[in-house]
Amino acid sequence: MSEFLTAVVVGLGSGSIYALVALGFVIIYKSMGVISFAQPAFLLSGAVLVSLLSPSIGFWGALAVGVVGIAVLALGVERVAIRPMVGKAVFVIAIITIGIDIVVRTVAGAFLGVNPRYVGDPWGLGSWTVGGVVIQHRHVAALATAAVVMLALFLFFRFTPIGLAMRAASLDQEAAMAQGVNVGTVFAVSWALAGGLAALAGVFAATGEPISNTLWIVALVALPVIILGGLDSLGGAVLGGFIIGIAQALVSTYHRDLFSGDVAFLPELTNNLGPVTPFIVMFLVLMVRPYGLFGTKEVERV
Amino acid sequence: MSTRTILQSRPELYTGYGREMGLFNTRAKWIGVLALVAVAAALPMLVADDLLRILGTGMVLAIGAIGLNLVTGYAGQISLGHAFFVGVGAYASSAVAGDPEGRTLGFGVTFMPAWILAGGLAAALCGVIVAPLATRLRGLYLAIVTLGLVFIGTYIFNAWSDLTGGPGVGREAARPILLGDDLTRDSSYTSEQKLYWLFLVLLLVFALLARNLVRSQVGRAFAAVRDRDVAAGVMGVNPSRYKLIAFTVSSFYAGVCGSLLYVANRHFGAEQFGLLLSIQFVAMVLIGGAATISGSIMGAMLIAALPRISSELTNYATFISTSPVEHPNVFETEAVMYGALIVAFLLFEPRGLFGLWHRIRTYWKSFPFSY
Amino acid sequence: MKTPLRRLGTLAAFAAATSLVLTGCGREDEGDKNVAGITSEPCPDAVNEDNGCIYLGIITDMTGPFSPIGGPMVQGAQAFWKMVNEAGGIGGYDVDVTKYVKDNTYNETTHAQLYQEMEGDILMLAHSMGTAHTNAILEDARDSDIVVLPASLGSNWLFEDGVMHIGTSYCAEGMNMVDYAVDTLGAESVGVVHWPGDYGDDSANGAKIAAEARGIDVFDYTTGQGGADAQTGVISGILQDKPDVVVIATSAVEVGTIIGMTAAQGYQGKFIGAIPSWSGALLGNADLAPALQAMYLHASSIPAWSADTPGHQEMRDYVGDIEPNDWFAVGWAGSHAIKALLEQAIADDKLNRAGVVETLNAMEGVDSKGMLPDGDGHYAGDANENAIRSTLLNVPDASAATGLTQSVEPFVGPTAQDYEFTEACYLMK
Repeated sequence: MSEFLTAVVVGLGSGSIYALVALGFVIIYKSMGVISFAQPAFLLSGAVLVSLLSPSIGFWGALAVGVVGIAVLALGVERVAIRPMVGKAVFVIAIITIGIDIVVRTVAGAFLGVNPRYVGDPWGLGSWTVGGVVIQHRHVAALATAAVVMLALFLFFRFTPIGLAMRAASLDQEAAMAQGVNVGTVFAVSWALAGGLAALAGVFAATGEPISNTLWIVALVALPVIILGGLDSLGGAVLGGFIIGIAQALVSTYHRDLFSGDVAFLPELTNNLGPVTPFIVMFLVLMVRPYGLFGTKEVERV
Repeated sequence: MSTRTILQSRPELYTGYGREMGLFNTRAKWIGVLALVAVAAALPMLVADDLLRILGTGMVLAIGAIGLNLVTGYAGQISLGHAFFVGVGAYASSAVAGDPEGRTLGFGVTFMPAWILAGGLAAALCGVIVAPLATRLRGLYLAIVTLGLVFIGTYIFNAWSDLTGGPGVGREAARPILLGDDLTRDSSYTSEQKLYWLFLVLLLVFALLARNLVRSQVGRAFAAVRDRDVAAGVMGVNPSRYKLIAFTVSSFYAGVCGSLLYVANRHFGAEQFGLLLSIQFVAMVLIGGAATISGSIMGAMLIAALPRISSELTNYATFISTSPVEHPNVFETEAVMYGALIVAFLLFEPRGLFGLWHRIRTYWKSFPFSY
Repeated sequence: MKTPLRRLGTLAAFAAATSLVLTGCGREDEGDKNVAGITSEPCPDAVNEDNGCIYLGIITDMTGPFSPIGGPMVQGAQAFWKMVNEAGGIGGYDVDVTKYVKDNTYNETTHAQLYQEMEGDILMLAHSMGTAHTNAILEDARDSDIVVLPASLGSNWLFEDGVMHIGTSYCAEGMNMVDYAVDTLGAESVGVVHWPGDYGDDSANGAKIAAEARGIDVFDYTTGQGGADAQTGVISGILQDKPDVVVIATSAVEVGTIIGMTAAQGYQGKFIGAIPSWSGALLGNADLAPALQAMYLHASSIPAWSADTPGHQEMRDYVGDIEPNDWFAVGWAGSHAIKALLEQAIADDKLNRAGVVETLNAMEGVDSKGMLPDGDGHYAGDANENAIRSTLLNVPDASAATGLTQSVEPFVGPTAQDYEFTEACYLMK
């Protein structure tokens, strides 16, 4: 039982990270109707930037500067490479974001250098043990941060003028424009938010361990998360993140027991299934619900 | 003189739907293709082997890109799972042709058409299996789900080491033996020349087949599904049926591409069929131009040559360090250039190389008037 | 009928122009391939303007997942040859390892294309990163008599002709790790944490061979790349099975999190890591450092940067104040073997591709000033005669330049001593 609960705590921690990245994807999707494949690069750059800054200005200062810095970077990218493409086919834009991803990721990798770097977080690999259940500090921190960010996003979309404008634009862009909403600002803010969220997720994904230049792969797990939650559902992204996180941690932990060839109906597999669990869960859910758990079903008019 | 003869005496005027949908619907196209093929066939006598290797890879990739264009450009179903089908084709063909005594699975059928077809059919079978789920989804949902296919595929390729040799190890690719001559060995012609000609012939065959398919009833049904699947359904074109056909044919092309892709290397590892390869195929289709066969070929050639192009461009920037540990160095610049060129192409010509060609053609057609 | 004719004219002109352009850059006469990569003209930016030039090719991972290994190794090789050239070169030639350096981004097709591009211009391939990648070019390289030095230590290279393998294979290293665990640490059970594939399986299968020979229990933990969350299964497995010693064949990222997490939860065994499992930066983490110092041993056959050998001393003196790196030292050490090969070929008047291959096949050792294990550089015999079997151990030491100090002199365990290699270890089930 303690092993099970330990896995659930790990899942909540990594699920918070997935949820943060997924929120970024959903915010961009809601504003422009595209998926930005540049999120992995922003995630890696966030962690790298914080690791460069934290020795001089401390972790918290570096975190603040890093998140804002990547948000500004995302804003710039949107202005230069995405804005001219508004209205073009979404897949052309998607491939452009992949090109951007390659560029930004290479530059971030260059700053990473040869030796592993740390983000310099105060949690490390420290943990509490409560009745045999191991609770890592960094997972609690990630969960708390995710909760604060979600609350802030909720208030932002609910009460600020630009938040309201974004919601209006996502419902009906033309109607919103007619009401005086500057759609350009909406695009810019959504990219900045997504960039900042990715950077934040990157820092938490890198807590307690050296940043490797393959850290960005974490962001790809957010893709099944947003499918699971529904592409246009912020709440779905959060819940999807936790579901995927916990499922992945449980599969990783129990893989050896389940797939050793001793359990009937299950094959013998030496390679841990944890890394592909998110995609398997996605397939299973989509067989039942083609628009995810909370996505809006398209209404068809001929 | 009847109207009909008057019409016929005017060149390049379609006098019937059949003619417009012809394989080569203008004479210029027919002549142009002939000239291009002639030039392409003569290239191996003129160009160095390392470039031939790149061009040959480009032609194999073009077969796969045509496949993706059938499902994406013509039938409107975006798939990021193409690399998975390419992988299936690569493994099926190398297993069929493989040495039965070898370390990895092999059935010893060395007859080339047999293993190429086996690669295509195995991938097509996987396409049929996946299609029922895929046909329920649209747009970005479909894209991400097919992306999941790539991740699960990579897991299977890594785990099934009896077939694939496992990660970092790999297995032998099929050997192309034609009339007793192993095309991967130099004889009176170098292996690059021989493989180039082989790939050129296969590309022509598969490009013509695809072009024939898209001008047939099936191709028009694809377009109807792409443009509005509900409307297509109302008109009696069953969307699920045609999506299934599109997926199957596209997977077949991917499988054929996979069966040939590593022939020149003779060996391939299990990590090759990841996200990057899928993305490259989508880039080929979009950079070439969606829903054009010739665009797919141009796109594939460009993506195959892009590492070399970015490397040559970087050579001009002599102020950049060549030391591997200084930043920025030429290697990073090359990688950045690769991404930047993709962005630049799509920013300035969203309709792809085909669109560029189209503009040039229209410009010369109406020269000196710019409209 | 004017338009089609004009079009036809345009097309013909276009085709003619294209073929003219192509002929211009066309198929050059390839000359005598046997002396390709050797010129009587000096190298670009030559140290010795009067010397000829020998070109060595390098294809490595500069921007992909293994760039932290590829970059420093190449830098080490380049520094080595710069020193050799400044001392007058070898036999009237300078050696160039900068003109043909390419980044394969860890992609096999790219690797093969890059090889094809430089094939006519290099005497040998001084560094080829990736096992599957190198296999994709090996047959071509053999056909053109190009000797290849792979930048990996799989036991498969023992069975390949025309390959200049250096150091102890991961497999023999795995055997030695287990023998040391049994003989010195008194282990009665051993866990094996490893990536699947050419590196991890080679090391793990070596460890399993030794464990079976010594009659102790083995627990297998196959794992992928990634930090603590990706290693959940391994961590819970080790805590459950409690092996006395864990052999670990991954990268430094996994080593850091697995040792850190298991130590924090009360595991008290020892870890012995393969060569690529260390990075000095691990000690930069204050939480991790005590656990590493108490529990981790680093196995290797090529001593670390700060090792006390004449060769390492020479290297440190020459490069002066640069950031110390163990892979730099490996790149430098491997170049000793290439230098010995080329010097012998020059001495035998066989400085051409076929001659270098011949010289390699007769080579029985190299004086690497202590940088390579004893007996390395032996390619004259069969696989078992050529195989190097010795391993040394390092311990983490924050005061050492790359965080490692040698603690155990090179030794050959009883299992590796008598082991007969029949195929690459990573292929065994």
